[in-house]
Amino acid sequence: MGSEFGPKIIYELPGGVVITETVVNTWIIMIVLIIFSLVFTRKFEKIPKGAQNVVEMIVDLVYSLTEQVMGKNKQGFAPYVGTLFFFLIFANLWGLVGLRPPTADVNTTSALAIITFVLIHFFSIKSKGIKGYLKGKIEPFPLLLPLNIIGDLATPISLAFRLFGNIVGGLIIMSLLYGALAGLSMKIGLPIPIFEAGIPSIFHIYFDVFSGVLQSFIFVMLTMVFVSMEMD
Amino acid sequence: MEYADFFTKFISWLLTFEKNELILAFSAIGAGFAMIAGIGPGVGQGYAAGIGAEATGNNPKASKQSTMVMLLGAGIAETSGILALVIALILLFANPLIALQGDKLVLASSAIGAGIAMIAGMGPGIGQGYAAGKGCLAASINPDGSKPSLLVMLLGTAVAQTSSIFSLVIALILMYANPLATTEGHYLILSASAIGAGFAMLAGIGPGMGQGYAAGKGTEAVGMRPRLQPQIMRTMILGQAVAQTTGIYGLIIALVLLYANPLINLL
Repeated sequence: MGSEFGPKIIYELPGGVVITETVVNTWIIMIVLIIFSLVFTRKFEKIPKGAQNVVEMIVDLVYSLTEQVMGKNKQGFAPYVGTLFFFLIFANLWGLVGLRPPTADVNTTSALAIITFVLIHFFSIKSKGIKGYLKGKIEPFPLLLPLNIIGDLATPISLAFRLFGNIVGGLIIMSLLYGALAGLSMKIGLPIPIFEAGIPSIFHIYFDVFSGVLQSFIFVMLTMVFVSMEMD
Repeated sequence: MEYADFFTKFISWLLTFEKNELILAFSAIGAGFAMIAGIGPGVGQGYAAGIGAEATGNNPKASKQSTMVMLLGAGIAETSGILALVIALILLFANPLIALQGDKLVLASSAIGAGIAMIAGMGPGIGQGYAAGKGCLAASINPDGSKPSLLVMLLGTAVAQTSSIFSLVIALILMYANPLATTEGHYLILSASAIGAGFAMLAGIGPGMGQGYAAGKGTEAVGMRPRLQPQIMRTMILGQAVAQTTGIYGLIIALVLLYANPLINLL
């Protein structure tokens, strides 16, 4: 993305590697998630109490969702599914605390989509064998080979841009709205920007909460469905 | 050859304007084109709302649940309209084309191309609205087993979104990383290619509507027989992937026009 709505560059390492807002915010989310998991998984007891109940409930939920969508024999994916889901939830809701969501950067969403792409094809080869995998590419008949390959490549692109488009769309509309409201209070001559206090919250509910949570869920669900469909 | 004469005159008239003026003028047309996409969500959400009213009439006890599903589905159907709005707003308030180096006619046409590409959002809007209606119906007929059908609706509509996502990609490429602007010479062909790439993306209307129909039917089927959810979902997603094909043809033609234009070499 270009100048105005692109992530700010915080620091430039020698050799032209830039540390952007996206990277810094991703680090913060990583630290938050790691601290959460360290603090809440200490001192587990056989009979759960307090925070342990909540943690067990969340883990149960992730496992049962994985089982429901991917099938019983693929529960091994649950840790990745859970991690991806919590990272995406935090990342998409990051705008609520006034920071730039890391998923509003096509680099973040592409990286996640590439992980899904690798998972799809690695586990497809692993479960069908290389012969079965290649045979699947010329089905239903060999002429469709180029189309199958294009379809395979389109999957990560649409995954990455679905998430990116939704989040960056919300980001752009919100920043334009804040700009317009600031301009409005300036025009009337109010010393306090009163319009910016309440009005944006309704839009935050749709653009950040609704579409953020929904898009996290959809990304995780599509990853699960695509991986499990290629496996059997 | 009166028409040809008119066309040359028109082009040379356009070229008399300054670079920024031409780009801004064409951006206005592009922003207008982009908003045509609003037809889709309008039709789709209207359908969903109609089914919602019907469902409430048939089964008032489950009206809370079916209304929730309807609103959720309508919120998803809104997405392609919002993506179009974003492109239009960028063209109006933060036009990136002015900062780009390149020929003025090519850049100006890119604004129109980006706008036309976003019209494809019409398809997903209609399709997702249909799916939202079916989800609402399923929730009203079988309120206890509505969870599996809701899941299918969410997945199906997410896949139906794909075409408007591809359009967004092409529009963003045209606006922020325009490969035509850096190409030298043959400006008329390059400008026409920018508009043509936008037109190619219109093919996405079909897949959007079709995939939405598949999502709706899948939701309906799962609503009736929740236990068959894995098989139904599998068939639905496989079919949707096939339905995407023509939209991907459009995407390929758009990318060829932008990155590997064969027409330039013909001259």
